[in-house]
Amino acid sequence: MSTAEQEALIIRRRSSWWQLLLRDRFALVAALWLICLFACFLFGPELFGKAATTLNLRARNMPPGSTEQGWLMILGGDALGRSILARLIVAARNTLAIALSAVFLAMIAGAVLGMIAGYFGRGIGHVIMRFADILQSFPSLLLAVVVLYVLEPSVPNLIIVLAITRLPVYLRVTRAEVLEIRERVFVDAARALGSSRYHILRRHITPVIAPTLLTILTVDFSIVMLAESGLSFLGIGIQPPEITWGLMVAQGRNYLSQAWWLAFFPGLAIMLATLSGNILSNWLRIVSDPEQRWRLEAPGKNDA
Amino acid sequence: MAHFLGRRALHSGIALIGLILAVFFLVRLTGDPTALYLPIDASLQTRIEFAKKHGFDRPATEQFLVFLKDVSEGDLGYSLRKQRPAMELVLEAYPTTLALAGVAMTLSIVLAVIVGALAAYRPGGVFDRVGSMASLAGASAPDFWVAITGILVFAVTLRWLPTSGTGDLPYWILPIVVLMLRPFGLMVQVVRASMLGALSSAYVKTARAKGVGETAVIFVHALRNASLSVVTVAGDLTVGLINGAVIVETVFGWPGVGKLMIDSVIQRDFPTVQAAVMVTATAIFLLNILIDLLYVALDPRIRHQ
Amino acid sequence: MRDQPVLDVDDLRVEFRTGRETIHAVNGVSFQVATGETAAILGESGSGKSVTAAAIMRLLQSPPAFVTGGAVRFKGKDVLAMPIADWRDSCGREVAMVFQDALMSLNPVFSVGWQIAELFRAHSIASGRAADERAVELLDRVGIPDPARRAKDYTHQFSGGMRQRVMIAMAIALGPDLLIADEPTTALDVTVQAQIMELLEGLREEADMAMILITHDLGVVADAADNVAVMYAGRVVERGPVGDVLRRPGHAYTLALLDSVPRVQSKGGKLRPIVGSPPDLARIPTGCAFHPRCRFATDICRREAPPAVAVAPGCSAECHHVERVFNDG
Repeated sequence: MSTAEQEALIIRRRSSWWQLLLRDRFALVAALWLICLFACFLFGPELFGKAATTLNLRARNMPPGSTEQGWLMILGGDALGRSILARLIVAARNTLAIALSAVFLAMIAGAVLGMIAGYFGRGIGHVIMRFADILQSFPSLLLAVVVLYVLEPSVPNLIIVLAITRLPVYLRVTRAEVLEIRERVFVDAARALGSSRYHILRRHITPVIAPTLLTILTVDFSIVMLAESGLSFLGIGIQPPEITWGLMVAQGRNYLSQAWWLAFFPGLAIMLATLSGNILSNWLRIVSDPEQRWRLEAPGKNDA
Repeated sequence: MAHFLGRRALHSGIALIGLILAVFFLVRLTGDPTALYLPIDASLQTRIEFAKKHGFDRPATEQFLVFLKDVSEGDLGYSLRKQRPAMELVLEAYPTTLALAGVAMTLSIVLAVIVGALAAYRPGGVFDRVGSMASLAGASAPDFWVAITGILVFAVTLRWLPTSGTGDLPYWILPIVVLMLRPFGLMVQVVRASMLGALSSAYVKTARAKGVGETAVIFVHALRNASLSVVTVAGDLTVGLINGAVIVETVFGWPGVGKLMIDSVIQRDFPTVQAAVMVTATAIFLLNILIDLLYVALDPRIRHQ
Repeated sequence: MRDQPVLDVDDLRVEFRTGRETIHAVNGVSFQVATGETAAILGESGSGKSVTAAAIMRLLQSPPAFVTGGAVRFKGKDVLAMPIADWRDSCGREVAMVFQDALMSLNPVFSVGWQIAELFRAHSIASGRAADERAVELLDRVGIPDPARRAKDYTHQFSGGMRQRVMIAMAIALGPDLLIADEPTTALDVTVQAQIMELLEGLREEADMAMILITHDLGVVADAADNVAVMYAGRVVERGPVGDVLRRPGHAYTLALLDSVPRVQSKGGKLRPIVGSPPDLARIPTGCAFHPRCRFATDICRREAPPAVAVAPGCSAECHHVERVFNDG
């Protein structure tokens, strides 16, 4: 069967995104979990800030699974007797804030540079692309280590470093899309009508690349989160008394043989968040790909 | 083909030089490099002597020329920690990292190709669901956390494996598995996606219509095409693998270049950090050229450009 | 044995299921092809002709495609019922296929010689040097100059016409009894089209093969085919010897098709494009699927599916208004 024929058969009326999300259990759970984390991000420190810093000597290294010392101790207590659950919720703000700021910064900076590289002359485009090469050809963790070594490991510096390491992806995607779209008729038409370059970029090109960039954004959210927690784990990311999940794992590592839950739960929190990001991004990619979309619309294997 | 390879080599070369420049200026833009190069408790006298000895009192352009000359001679200064040439330390640490990364990369590619190809063969089937979920989990897992959890379970509790250090096979298992997680997870997804494309392609239909057996259809016709995308991402994955090596070497106490780098950063031994960056960048530069050669060998369309 | 058809397709049905809806691509297609005969399947894109061919070759991807009914008998054997491995063994050896887009249909990373020789290897007929030599012979036979050198080249190094010759070389390599050609000339220049059709026709005659020619091109049908089946919305709406059907069609759709292209000896000479667009196969109109676009349509066309009506000896059409159409055309 020719591809044209197959497309004619398969690309038909579409279900709405919302209906598709409800149909895919994994994606739905992932989305709900991220919403839940976002709530922790918004309200966590205000609601549980006190509980996270209260020392309870009787709950020192208390194992999880018991509510003897209150339900907040369900995941156990740390070396100072603080509630691990409360600390996880409070740490969600820093962890998510860093990851979200870094990816948005990377996306905006990358998209702008990509548009410049793709839309304006070849010279500046080459300079920008070689800059992306440098960033991509060197391990991001090592890059971050060196930069944070020279600068100081503050939250803004951490965000900037992480954003810079992720920037090339957005830059390349945007540039490639802009180059392609630029050749298409509608932009030529717009140019003929006398629109300014800025206007063309904003009105014609941005809407087309936005879905692609958002899909990458969800993957990058996971990647950046892993990078931040790795750096914090190594002791060159977030510095105490600030906390993130990565730092909690690092601190818990010292008590590994006596109280495994100190390091286990923060790591699990990272894993669930990054997994959700990855699942959602995979789902987004399939939904926005017309050739794949039927897989989500298909009722499942009972047909096979 | 020569054009393609030349352009790629040029780009990689520019990236390599750019990185060396970046390291040089990063150190100097942030103020007095003596502060970076010397331990925090060094006396004023030491600082002045150090600055003089390394020419930090001279203009930046002159320093850069001296720096370039030193780099071209492989002289990247003395390690402040060990009082030995920094380059020597880095080259000593490299074989460990190369072995670790090489084994992890080879295993992940082989396993990912098998899992990805089988998952793509029946999209939506049981194997695909399990494989895709496992690869997603692998790509999402914080490696340091898996590493310490692994030590807790297999070394501390079950006592099957050693907690850390280097030695024979049992010492390799946990580090390799942890290091493989992310490249394996990402590679399965790449292989699966490109196999899915290849298996629904017209040339696979032709092969089937010719009566070619399914095994040959999957592993000859489709996989050969899908291997192009594997090669495309292999470079990025190797770069990512070095990130993982930093973590794994630190957690398991392997004397590789990642651990050397982190230790040097924490103990403010900048000449060693700089040497490690330089050697790593050069290694990646060579790797990129190797990957391009492989790509040309695999894709006749580029060969005849 | 001349009487038994090489291929007998009986009431074949194929659906594509995409969850929200079911696309009825093929809805009860029947036809036969005899040895030495060229049968054309004529239809617009989306009429189900290519899906029919893919279903016969068992090349449909399932899901989303499902064969929901009917039978395909090749030399008396039930194709759809036999184990896929057995059928694949017949593919290439007894049945061969030429695809529309040779650039996409040939593997870009293997030399064309390798791909032709693969037929001999896959069917354990020849291997190594012997297979390579036979590939070169085949390239020579389909008219590719300097075949020994060209065998080492890759798809992207050939022109469109030469690529299609390579496809044909693969199809005839093992001397099949049936050749299915799916739009073999559509992707080609007009001048090259004629050469390729000539080559196909010559090779077919030489080997006394049966051929199914799938096309939307009336000219190709008129020149090359013995019998024709006209498809619309997944059904054969009219069938018969090419001369009869194209001269005086009995189905309103066939007539509309003929009126939409310039004909050399047409009597009216007035071009009349078919109004509307091909039907949505998820919502095929009731009654006769063509009625929304048909200028002969009456109430009964909307209500009842038309039965097959004999138009002339060996000709039949599924139309409520065979007589009106016949007299008009």
